[in-house]
Amino acid sequence: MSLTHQHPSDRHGPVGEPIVDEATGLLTDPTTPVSIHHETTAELDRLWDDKPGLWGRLTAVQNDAVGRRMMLTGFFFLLLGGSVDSVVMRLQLARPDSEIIGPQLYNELFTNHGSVTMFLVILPIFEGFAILTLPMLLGSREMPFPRLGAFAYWTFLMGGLLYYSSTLFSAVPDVGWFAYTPLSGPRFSPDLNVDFWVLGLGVAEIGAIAGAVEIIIAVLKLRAPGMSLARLPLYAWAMLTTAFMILFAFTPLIVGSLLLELERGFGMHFFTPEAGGSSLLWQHLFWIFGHPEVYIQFLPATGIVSMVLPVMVRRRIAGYSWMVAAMIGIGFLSFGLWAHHMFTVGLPAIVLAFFAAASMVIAVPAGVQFFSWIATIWDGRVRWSTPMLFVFGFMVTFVVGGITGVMVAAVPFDQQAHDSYFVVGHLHYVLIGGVAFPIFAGVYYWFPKFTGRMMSERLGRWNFWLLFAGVHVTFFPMHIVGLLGMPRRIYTYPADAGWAIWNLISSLGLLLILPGIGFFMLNVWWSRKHGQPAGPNPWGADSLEWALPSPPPQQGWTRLPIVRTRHPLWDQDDLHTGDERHERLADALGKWPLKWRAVLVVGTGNGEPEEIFRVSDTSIWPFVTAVGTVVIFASELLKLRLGALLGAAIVVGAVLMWNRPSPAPMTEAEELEFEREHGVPVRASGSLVVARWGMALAILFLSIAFGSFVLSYFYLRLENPVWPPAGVERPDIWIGAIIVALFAVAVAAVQAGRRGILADDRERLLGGLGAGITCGAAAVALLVTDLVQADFGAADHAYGSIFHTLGGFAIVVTCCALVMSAATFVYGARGEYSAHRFSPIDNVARFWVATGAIAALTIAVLYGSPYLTS
Amino acid sequence: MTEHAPIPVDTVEPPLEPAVRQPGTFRMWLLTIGGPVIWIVHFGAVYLLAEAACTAQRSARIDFVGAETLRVAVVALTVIAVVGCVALAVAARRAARRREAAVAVGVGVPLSLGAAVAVAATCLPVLVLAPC
Ligand code: HEM
Ligand SMILES: [Cu+2]
Repeated sequence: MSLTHQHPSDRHGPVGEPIVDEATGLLTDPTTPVSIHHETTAELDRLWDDKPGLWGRLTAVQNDAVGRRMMLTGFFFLLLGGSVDSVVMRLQLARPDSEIIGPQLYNELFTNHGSVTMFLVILPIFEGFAILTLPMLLGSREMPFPRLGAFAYWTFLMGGLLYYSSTLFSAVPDVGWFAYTPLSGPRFSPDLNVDFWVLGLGVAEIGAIAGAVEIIIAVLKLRAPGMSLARLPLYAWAMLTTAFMILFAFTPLIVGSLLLELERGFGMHFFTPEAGGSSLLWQHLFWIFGHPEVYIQFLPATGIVSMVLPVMVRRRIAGYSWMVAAMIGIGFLSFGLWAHHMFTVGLPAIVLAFFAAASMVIAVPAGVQFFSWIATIWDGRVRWSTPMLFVFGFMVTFVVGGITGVMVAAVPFDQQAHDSYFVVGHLHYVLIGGVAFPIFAGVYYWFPKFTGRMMSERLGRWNFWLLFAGVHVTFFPMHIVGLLGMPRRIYTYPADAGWAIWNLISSLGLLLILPGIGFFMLNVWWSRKHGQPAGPNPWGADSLEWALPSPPPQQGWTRLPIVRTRHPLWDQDDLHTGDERHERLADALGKWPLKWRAVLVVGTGNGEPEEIFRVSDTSIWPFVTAVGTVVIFASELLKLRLGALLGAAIVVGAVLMWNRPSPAPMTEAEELEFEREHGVPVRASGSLVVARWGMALAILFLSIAFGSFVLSYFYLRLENPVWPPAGVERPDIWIGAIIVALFAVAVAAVQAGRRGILADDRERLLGGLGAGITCGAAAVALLVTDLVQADFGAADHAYGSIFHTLGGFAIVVTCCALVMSAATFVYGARGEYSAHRFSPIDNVARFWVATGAIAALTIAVLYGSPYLTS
Repeated sequence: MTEHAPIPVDTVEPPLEPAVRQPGTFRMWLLTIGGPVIWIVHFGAVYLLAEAACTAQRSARIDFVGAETLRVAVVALTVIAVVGCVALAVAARRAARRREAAVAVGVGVPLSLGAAVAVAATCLPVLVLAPC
């Protein structure tokens, strides 16, 4: 494992001023290295480009296209939902007893505003931004699963549109962005409004998880040779932490949404107390997502600040390791805070204390980050260009929001301030100061890299100062009016309440914010064509992407950079010398292969080359899969159960097509030859390492979902003194035992098949898979029969609902395993696999282990726990 | 920097078992994020214990775990967790001296120590508050 402590190098150090290069007329820092010219650049550029035309757009998978679209879609939803809604709400609240809009429309506006910004704006902007930039920052050519990225984009777009289509049906969601039960349950929201919320956003949530998987693997595995973890740019650390948080936070939300939809659409009971449910269960499931979500938005912002700020003050970040520790610490701690949103629902005192303590502790890592930034500024010389202005605005505003956060983390204070405008003030300070300002900083900072032109500084200043002043004028008074007792989510208030003047000031603040945003849009539009032309490194920055031409070619790196330091552009003289093996490999990959998209995989810790694989290319199937997903959700919305089946069929078919093996462009012998020469295996038929990581994350996702179901089961168990309810038979433990035994045999058989193919024995592979499929199918059949024959229905009571749901989950997981095994069986029979190309078999075998474990635990919970706990 | 460590690659020689996992990856992550993992496990455990004990007491009027038992259990779990975090911090420090496990060096020590503090802070209230 390699580690270079920071050697502050004085060779050129981070102090060269960018100047306009006389030869090219481009603004750049001539003292930093650039990626060297290569004669294959044009050829690779064509190879990596997506196809032209409409078909090309639908099949595009390239990280540039996907990332850019995701960001633009996020901004689009922001304009649609973030701005119009808020303007109307502020108009309405500007004067007391105002009747511009009625209460129903007001409910719809604040619900839409919150839901869109929390689900459809910041998330796609950050994930898109990561997909766009990470390969360049890390010295790689692509993201690990380009098709998964495309799928993430399409689900975001379609989910958002499905959500927005509620307007066409005049059934706009109106229950707040956290959709508390019982208000959101079938009794009080019988129309489709909440279904649009659950199902539309549900599609987008799937996209968020798909994007997270991409990002995790990209950061851990797809980097330049020599980029050890200790040399990772801080932005990559931030995105890595964020992506893991997305996986752990969005999954419980998807489970919660599923339960809510089952309650709404299928008459089940999870949240209705009369039938043994608990409305607090929804609050728990929602906030286990909801609190991490705010940090999911905040951490990428700190990543951006940690990239921009050091460049703008021309100093290496102070305390890199502390910064990484703080990011990871925040990631973990944020999962122990959720109940601070539930301080007033009557949780046990000791539970309140746990969550209050954790909420205060999180101020420590946040403080560490702050001091690290301040120390960096202290040590350097500030260049007040627009990105730095936004960083400054971020620091000032976020500090206020952080302080009010710690205030509401104190239980007695929160019991006063909860659901008042104080909280609205807090959350806008952290979200606008802590998240929106860094996004602006990032746009100003990276814009030249992608367009080749600087944004206007003049317009930038107007943009910043108007926005900065406007945000404080608008949101500061909310703290005061909140302390004066004004509740949030009221559509009007009486004149004698004493709140009028503060509300008027708040509304007037919009007169600053709106032109501020206007200047931003004007700046983007104008600078694209007329900005000062930018060379590779207009800011004199230290991270890899600034060595590429602006804008970079499709493949990004023709010749992979060799990383020897944490700040390669500041501390290295060039990017093409270093370890001799790295040099030869980078050289070889610049010239070959020119017919397929090759990507380098490195060791997680040390950044040493580990594998070269063919990353998947353009495909229509991610789009079709997304369409299938939307068909499922939309059919559920319209109560067309057959339509949902059709959607499921589309998804299964499309996923099979998407992942079907394509003919490898090299023979095994050729692969081995390259491996002998460079010591790195080539996998032209698809990666082993990356596929394995993908499978591991898929299993992690299923495990988190499973954990959420099990916790819900026991939560309901605790709420009910009698379990199962009176008159219900306990499940037959012997049937459970048989099911578990069948699963065990299935898992063992598939493992045996895997060992078979590793010994190049195809018969054994097929035999093992066949036996596994048979036993697995038998187990599912038995489980289904037992569920169907139970003497209670899923809609009878909470026990029946959770019993059938958890059982159903195990059935679905097993069906996935069966479909995967059947597909590999067919491909295996056709001779696709060998002792050298066995990655899919490997993954199926792993998936079976997970399936077996999930099934066994499900049986233990469903069949065993009633005996233990009653 | 250990320039000439053998490159960890998949072997395609017999016995054909892929050796993708590099030696030490698990150890590296343990030393890096072991502390926070202890924190979250401990937090989950004490929270679920308290929630279970108090809910059972409230809704079913069965004494699942008595107040005193709950308090003792929480304190015991806390002591174990703090010891674990400190042990990890020491191990990370040692690894730093031997210049192994790159990330663990700078990140593991503050994270483990921070986790120890966080574990202790989370459970401080149990000493003064009535549990339910
Ligand atoms: C020091 C860190 C923070 C602490 C201790 C903290 C604490 C809290 C607390 C206790 C509440 C609940 C108030 C109530 O409803 O009574 C809250 C609400 C909220 N916080 Fe924070 N917060 C912190 C940082 C953040 C950050 C970084 C963000 C986002 C980037 C954020 C976004 C929100 C949002 C959106 C809400 C309102 C949720 C809702 O009720 O709709 N907070 N915060
Ligand atoms: Cu929170």
